[in-house]
Amino acid sequence: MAAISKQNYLDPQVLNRLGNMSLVARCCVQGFFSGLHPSPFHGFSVEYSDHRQYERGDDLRFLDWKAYARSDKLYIKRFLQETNVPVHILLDASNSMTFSGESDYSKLSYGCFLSAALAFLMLGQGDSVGLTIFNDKIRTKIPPRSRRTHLHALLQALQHSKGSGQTDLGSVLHTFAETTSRRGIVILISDLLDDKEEIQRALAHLKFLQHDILLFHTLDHMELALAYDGLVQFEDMESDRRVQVYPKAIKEAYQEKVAAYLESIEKETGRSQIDYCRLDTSKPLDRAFFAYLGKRKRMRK
Amino acid sequence: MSFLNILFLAGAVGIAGPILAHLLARPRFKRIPFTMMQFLEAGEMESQRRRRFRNILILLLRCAIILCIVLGFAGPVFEEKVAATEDQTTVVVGVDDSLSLAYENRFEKQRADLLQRITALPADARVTLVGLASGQRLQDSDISGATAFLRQLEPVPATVHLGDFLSTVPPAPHGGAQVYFASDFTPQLLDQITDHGDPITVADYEALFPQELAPPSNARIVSVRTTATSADYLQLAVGVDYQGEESAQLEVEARTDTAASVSASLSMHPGRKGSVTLRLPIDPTQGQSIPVTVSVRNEDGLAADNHYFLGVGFPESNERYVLIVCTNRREAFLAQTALEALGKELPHLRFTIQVMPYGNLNASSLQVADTVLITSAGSALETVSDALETFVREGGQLLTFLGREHDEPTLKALFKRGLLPAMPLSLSEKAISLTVNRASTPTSGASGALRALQNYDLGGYVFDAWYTCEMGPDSEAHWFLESGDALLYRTDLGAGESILLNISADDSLSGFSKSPAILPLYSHLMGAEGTVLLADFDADEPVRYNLSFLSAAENAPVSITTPQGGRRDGRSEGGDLRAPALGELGLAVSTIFDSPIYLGLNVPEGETDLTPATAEQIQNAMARLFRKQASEAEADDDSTTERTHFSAWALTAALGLLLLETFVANRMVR
Repeated sequence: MAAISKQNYLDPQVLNRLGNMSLVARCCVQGFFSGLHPSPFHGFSVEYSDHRQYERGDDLRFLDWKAYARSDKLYIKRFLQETNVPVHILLDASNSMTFSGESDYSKLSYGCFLSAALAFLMLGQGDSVGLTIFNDKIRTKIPPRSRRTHLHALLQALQHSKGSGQTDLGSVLHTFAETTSRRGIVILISDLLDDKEEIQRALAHLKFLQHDILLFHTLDHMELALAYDGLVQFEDMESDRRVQVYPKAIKEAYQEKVAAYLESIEKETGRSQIDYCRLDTSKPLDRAFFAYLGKRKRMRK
Repeated sequence: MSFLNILFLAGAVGIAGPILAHLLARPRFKRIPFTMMQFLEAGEMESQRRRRFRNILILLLRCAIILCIVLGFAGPVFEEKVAATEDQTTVVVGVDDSLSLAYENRFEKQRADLLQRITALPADARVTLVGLASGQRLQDSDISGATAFLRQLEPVPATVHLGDFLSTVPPAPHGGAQVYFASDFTPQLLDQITDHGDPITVADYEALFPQELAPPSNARIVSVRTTATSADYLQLAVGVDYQGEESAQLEVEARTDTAASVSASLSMHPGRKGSVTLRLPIDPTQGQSIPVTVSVRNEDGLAADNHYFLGVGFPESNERYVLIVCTNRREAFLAQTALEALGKELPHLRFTIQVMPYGNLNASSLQVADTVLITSAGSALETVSDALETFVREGGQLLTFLGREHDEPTLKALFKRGLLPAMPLSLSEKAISLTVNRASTPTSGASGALRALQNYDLGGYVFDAWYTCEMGPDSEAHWFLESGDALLYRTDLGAGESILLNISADDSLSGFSKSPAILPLYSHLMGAEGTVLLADFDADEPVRYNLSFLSAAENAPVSITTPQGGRRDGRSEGGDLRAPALGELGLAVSTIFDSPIYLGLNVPEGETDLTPATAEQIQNAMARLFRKQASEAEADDDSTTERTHFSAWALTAALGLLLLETFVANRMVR
């Protein structure tokens, strides 16, 4: 296997070849952080990255004795998180997520890479992470835990996830909201190919319960570009609908409609104070990481 | 609307092809699982509409292309009524100036006919002239310009191009165009006419063609002469005239009836003459008369173009014994002089002359003679009358000159015995001029020599006295004088003949003996046998000459060429040559002065590619080209009809539609 730089570990093509979700998670995170000069995200590396001077009343458990030995000054380690909220990763595993366009991996695979990497990152920072895999119903639910050994269960679940069935995002989110007692961070990874109104209502339900929502809208490049030639009969992956068109003929109109649709989602989520991040599965995962870390940063302020 | 080739419209069924393809075609598509269907469905309707429009547009274009191609080949012609112009005579003349018209004087005759017609047109007539082979053209000219143009036209080595001429025939305006088509209508032209489409409507049309539609030869033997002879060969110089339209290699062959033959090649160019020498082996035992056939053949694969028949004679050497019986030396001298002159002209004749006074004439001297010339009849003749009669009956020739001085009882006695054809009666004292009456008709059977005498003018002598004669019952009179009397009387007696020549007006042999007329008479008397042309015919009777040695000359027109270069037209019937006039053929007899003797008969036979059509074929051909205006109503219509051909437009449109279809198929978004 050719040497792959750490930065390449963000490339989903590369991650797809790794095959092992644990490896994917590690490589992805390491790849992400190795690319940061310097890391702008204090407190989010696996090791502490900064100190502040001791102030009266600080917890002496976090005193950095080594620094004191070196400098005769008292410093408090800042890497330790000062908050501890559960993170719920909700991964859409409906049939539409198995769409792969012209790449070797599907939206679901992309979502799994992202979920694995995020889980690895969060557990490394002491967050508790849970995983919910769903389609029209919740198929797999792993409650949030903060132990590092919990990562194995999460990665296993992701490794064996298969796309199937239709999407009923609204119902799943409502169910999740009703069965989750503690507020936390909800990371939703989905293509949102469901009734928009229902989705909005479900998200509003979650917001009402004071969850912080980070929405990763996962779309394949071909879903955005419609770069097909010749006469194509498109067959819906979750129903019997068929449409026979020359994609070139309708490409422009299609892209306009899709753009309008995405814009409306972005506006709605913005209005609802839901962090929205659109992911093109042909692009590296660092964008997702930046979105998550930015979210965490805002939360700490 | 009409069509030049209406059958091509059947090709319109080809429209079914694109229609069936449109109906039965199933587009191939890829099946792709997809997710964002709601965004596709909005564009599907639009895409389907656009596809349907594109497909129908392509279908219509393809159908239109097929229709345009069909129309292009069918040749639609639209006739449109336009405002009438003033009545004006419009004449279009097609002049065949191909090389076939160069035969003899056909082109000149054609030109003269056309000039006559053009100059007879109304003064305001407009004439268009087209040289059918040369392509020279004079468009819409007045009469003087047309005649000047016609005078400078000459035959050219090219063939007729019918299409170029027909394009100049204008649409029939009010009154229409008068069309003259002058040609010899060779098979090549008739083929072009056969392939022509619909006839063109004109006011009137007329075909002008040579009236004598005898098939000409495009290769013709014009002369055959013997230039050398020997016992086993005959050398012939053959002159050939060639009027074909392209250069050709001719083969000239000479053969005898014993199948011996010789041939030679002759390269000929159109309108040129050539000659070739042939050395023909002959069999000396064939006889005195050898028929020779000379033929010329073109390399066009057809039968021989022309035959020339030659009768070649080889007179045997002939020795004659002539006995001149005279009363004085002077008469003997004149007679001998005439015979010696004859001997110089006929080298194959050798004769021995013996001069004998009257008193010495006896039976034994007659036995060795072939011909006896009696310069004046004396009493001594009676004593030998038995012997004379025996002499003549056994094949001898007796020529008696009747002068003023003669023994009348002796002549009467000889007359009664039948030895003389006539006897003198009385001396007429009426002055006469000694001029031969050419209108006098010799009896049949008389030799050509005698008839030739009619052509000779004896100088118009005036005589103050003349002996009239009484003819015998079996005698014949020739060479009539103005007085009505004959100058020469003749009778057959047994195997021989007796001739009485009445020279009593002159009473002298000198004038007559000096006349060239004496020579044919003497040659007749000398019996110049071995000439081929001892054909007996009367002056105004058709010449009958046996052509049994001509195998292919049955009922064929025959051109008779005499060695003097004269020509007569005849026809072979039943194996005989028949020709209307004689004079020159009679002169041919005089060619016994030439040795060997021959008469050439040129029989134009064989196939030629210049064979003209019959009158009926020509009229049918013209009806394919032109159509006269049908009715007075059509002629009197106050508008004219313009015909516009749309073939080129249709084909151009097909090409344009094809380009458009290609663009639509490749560029138009589905």
